[in-house]
Amino acid sequence: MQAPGQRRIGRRIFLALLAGGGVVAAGGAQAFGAIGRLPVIKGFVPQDGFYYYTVSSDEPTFDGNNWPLRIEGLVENPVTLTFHDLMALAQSDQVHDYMCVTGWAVPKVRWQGPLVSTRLDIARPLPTASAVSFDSADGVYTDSLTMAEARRPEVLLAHAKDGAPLAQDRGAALRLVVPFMFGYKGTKWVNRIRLTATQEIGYWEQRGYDVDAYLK
Amino acid sequence: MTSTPISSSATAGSGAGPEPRVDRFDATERLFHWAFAVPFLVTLATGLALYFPELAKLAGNRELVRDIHRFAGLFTVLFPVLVLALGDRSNLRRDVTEVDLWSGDDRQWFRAWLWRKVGGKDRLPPQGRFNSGQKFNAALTAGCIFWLAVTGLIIFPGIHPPFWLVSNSRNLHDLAWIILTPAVIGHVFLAAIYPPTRPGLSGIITGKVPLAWLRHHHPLAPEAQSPAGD
Repeated sequence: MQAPGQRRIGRRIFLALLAGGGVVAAGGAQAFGAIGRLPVIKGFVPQDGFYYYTVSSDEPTFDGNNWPLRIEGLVENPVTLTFHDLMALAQSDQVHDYMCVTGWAVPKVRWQGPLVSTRLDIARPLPTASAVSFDSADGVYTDSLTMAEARRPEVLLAHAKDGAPLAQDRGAALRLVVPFMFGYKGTKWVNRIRLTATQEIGYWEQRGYDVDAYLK
Repeated sequence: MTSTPISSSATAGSGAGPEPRVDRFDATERLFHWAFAVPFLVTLATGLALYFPELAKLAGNRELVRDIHRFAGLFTVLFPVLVLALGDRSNLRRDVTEVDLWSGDDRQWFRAWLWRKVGGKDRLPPQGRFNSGQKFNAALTAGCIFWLAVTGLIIFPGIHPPFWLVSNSRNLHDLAWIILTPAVIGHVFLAAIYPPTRPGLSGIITGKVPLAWLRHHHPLAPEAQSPAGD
């Protein structure tokens, strides 16, 4: 019962939101880079396009010098490399799009650091080793690759991103970069590499994610 | 506000008895509101912890925060639907019609109210059961919740949609809460904190509001016409 002078404005607001949402959803992600730069939000979210995810309340800290990296498990030569050892290795410099399985992506991220393959060579894997686990210094997070994946020339342990030393929130001192997989494969704050006979199941994979994280 | 003296009726007691109160929301309306509001606030709080880095560090246990967010989000939709299914919907139906229909005075009220935020002094025309700000808030909330629910389901675990769909859903989810959150803050402020309007808060808790308050803020509401304490 619509009295004279009354208009159905309530439903118009509702329907306009539905239509607007549909248009925006169809319009794709481009329009949305803007959200994180809105005045109120800007102060609270990282401005490099990354979101910050952690699974423990203790964030490992890196003083710029000391970051021993242990390589152990099925290797002939278990070693602990210092940060300076790592910096002295041949460095790789690569640009890749970064994709998170939860639906955000950062185009053209530049990573620098030695290849994982180089480090494995130092420890000399035994023939029985078929997979590699990367453990975080937070003591909780871990993920793994097959030996073949870990040896691909795109897989590196980055200590620099976009030309600057890796930030704490991004995983300093060392972060695993696996450009052909979703971001959850990229353990942050890596301080231990373990070679195993069978592939271990990573943190989020124990909680329902696919062990196969190839970008689709 | 200069309150007009209200003659106490027999049911409201006499002399310096309690302030006369009248019905505003029935049991179903109140239950519907809280069945939505409680899980929604849990969803909002956990959602903010998932989104903002500093809160993320406080939260630490991302898996737990995420799981609470997902289930609270489900309940934000399921609980109100349950109330709708089991309750007496007659008053809620009337409320929806009220929210939908805006009289000329409603439109004028909304313009004047916005104008006052920037120093305008326009008169606010008398309002009915809901003022047009409340109507706007209700319609906005419904629209945003629709998209939050739809996009939230798409990115729910166990479903593995293609990346473009996850990505667009995530973006729309973000946009919807960024629009809705200020409205929620405004609603909570006006309902529970701002002195001139907060006497109405009892309406959504006990169902009754002070008659004087209703006559001042919603003079055209049917309950404002009835004798005190009726």
